[in-house]
Amino acid sequence: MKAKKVLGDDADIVLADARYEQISKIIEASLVKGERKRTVTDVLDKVFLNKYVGIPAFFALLWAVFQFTFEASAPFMGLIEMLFAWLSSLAAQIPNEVVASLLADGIFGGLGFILSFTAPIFFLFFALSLLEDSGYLARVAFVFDKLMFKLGLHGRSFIPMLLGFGCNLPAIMAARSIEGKKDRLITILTVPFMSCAARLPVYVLIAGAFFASHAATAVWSMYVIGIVVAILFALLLRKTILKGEPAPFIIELPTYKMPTLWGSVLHMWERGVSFLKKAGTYLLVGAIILWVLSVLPWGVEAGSGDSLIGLIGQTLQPLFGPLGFNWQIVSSLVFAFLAKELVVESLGVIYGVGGEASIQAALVASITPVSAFALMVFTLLYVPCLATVGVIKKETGSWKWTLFAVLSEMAIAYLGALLIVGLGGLLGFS
Amino acid sequence: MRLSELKPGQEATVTKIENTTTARRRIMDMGLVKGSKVKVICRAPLGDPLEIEIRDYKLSLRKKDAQNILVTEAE
Amino acid sequence: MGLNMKIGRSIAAYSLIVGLFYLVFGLLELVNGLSQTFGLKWAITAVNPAIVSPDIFSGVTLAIIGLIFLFGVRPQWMANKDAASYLAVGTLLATVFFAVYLAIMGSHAVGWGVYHIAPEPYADIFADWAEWIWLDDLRPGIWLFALAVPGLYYTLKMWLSRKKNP
Repeated sequence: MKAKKVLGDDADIVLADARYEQISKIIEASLVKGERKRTVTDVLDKVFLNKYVGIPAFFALLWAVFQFTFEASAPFMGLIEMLFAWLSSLAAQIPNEVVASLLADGIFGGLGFILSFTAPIFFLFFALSLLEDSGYLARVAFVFDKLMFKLGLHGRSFIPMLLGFGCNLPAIMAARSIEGKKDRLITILTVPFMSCAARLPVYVLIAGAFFASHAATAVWSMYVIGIVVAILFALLLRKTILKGEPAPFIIELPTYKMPTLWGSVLHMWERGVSFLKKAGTYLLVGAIILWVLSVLPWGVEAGSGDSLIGLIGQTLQPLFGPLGFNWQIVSSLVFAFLAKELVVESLGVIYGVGGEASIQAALVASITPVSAFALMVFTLLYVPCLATVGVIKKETGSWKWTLFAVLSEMAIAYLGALLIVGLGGLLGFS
Repeated sequence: MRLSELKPGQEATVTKIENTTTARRRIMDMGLVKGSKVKVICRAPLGDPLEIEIRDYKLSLRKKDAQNILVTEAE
Repeated sequence: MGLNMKIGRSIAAYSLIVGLFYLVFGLLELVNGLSQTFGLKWAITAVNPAIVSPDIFSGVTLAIIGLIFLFGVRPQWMANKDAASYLAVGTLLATVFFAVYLAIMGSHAVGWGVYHIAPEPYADIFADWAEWIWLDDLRPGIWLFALAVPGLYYTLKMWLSRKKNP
């Protein structure tokens, strides 16, 4: 405090000033500057940060990333699926019935289905590495900071939120680049509301069965509802338990560089392997637990009403009565803790039918269209998958926040679905 | 004059940093101190934050942080 | 001389042509996509879908690339200092999409190949690509790139000449 009186400012400021002053003197005395030329960065930024075409150019690149991630990776997903199907068929020949079922259905069946998603995840990591190494990703945060600031978030939260539409796992991992602790937490907690690719088959199945000509609108509305819920939740968190302002946006915008293929491949590999290590353990445990639930007591038809999972569904069903879900749906939602797309598969198992058309028919016979829409909303909002929970734990480093994430998502999903049913009732749908 | 009032392309010298927030420390860490020359490059497409050039590199900061940085415009 | 050397009216004319091509084919792809996805009666399939694949977002994207080229025409005509920017980013994006569509074509070829060599129960996984031929994936984003090649060449030349004598 005394220093402040004598020097007229805080000591650290005076020190920094003096230091930089000295540096400037030395530079002035020793460096002869040539004329400043337009660099590649100047040239590219003129368009990428342009008032009119800057944002469209970003969406163009985004589409390139999504196409590459989901279109180009599809056959490789098939290859992984094939590998696990082959392992599963080998395991099925094991003489011991229990071991054979555990390996074939529980581990290779359940896990293989989910691990096939490593293909698009690796493709996504590769595309992102290219964008990051080129220096473009920092610009994206710059371009969208104002928007995110209004939502109580930081410019750097934009990329994770966006990646969430592809897969929540890399999205939550990408939140690591956010400096402010609160900013990062809010991002991690809201990313799961971004509707990931795995939820799409569920929407398509339900919307196709109930909303025939408006199916596309119903599916599209899920994405919109997800974004709205994420925004509201972020604002709520900012107002309550994570009070404060987003961290200042004082960051360096790096110069553009030509990314190298090898560098980006290495980058992709590092991230992909760390993702596999994280998600893999949780998935393995989860797959085994779900297998146990579906085959016990030993001898019942797997996943039927007599199995543990069926019993759980029947026990929990009264809770979901107001939403109009029957026990079969509740059981499939329990199954889908492992991964959202399992709603479709497990409905098939539980109803004992095969093929999309017959699952749809079974659904139409058992719930109303309003409940079907509520089911879509519930699928959208509740815990995306077991792997996400694992990654949230790893990234927040706290079981408290992980539990908070899971519970808040369940509560929001339930309330959201209840709201749909209530609104549907008010509007006279049944 | 304040840094936030400069137009793209204008150059200036920093005279005083008034920030009292957490941003102050960070601003100084990035080399934005009394006497440093800055040039406003552009604003983000949505109008905020702004990009400035300082010590031969590009820095971005929000308008509300730039408001607390006093500058004198270079002729 | 920086990166803005020799930007003149011939470059402006070139940008105009490339920009219009990307814009028009982008819009056609968009209209085809809309009419396919929503089965809209008013939106007749504009061009043979075999030539202009129906795809809403890819169409929008091509149109955006076209717009970026077109935005450059005025500054290039005036030999403004921003002139090189639009050409550079336009060709950059065109190249990115060319590469992505090629990658998709290549990966579909893998799917097709595996379908034909995989043993019976597994081949089904790849049934989507059983009938695939490379023409299916010859998107406008691929062949329009031929138009962008001179721009890419020009941009790279500027870039390299700058690197050599800074």
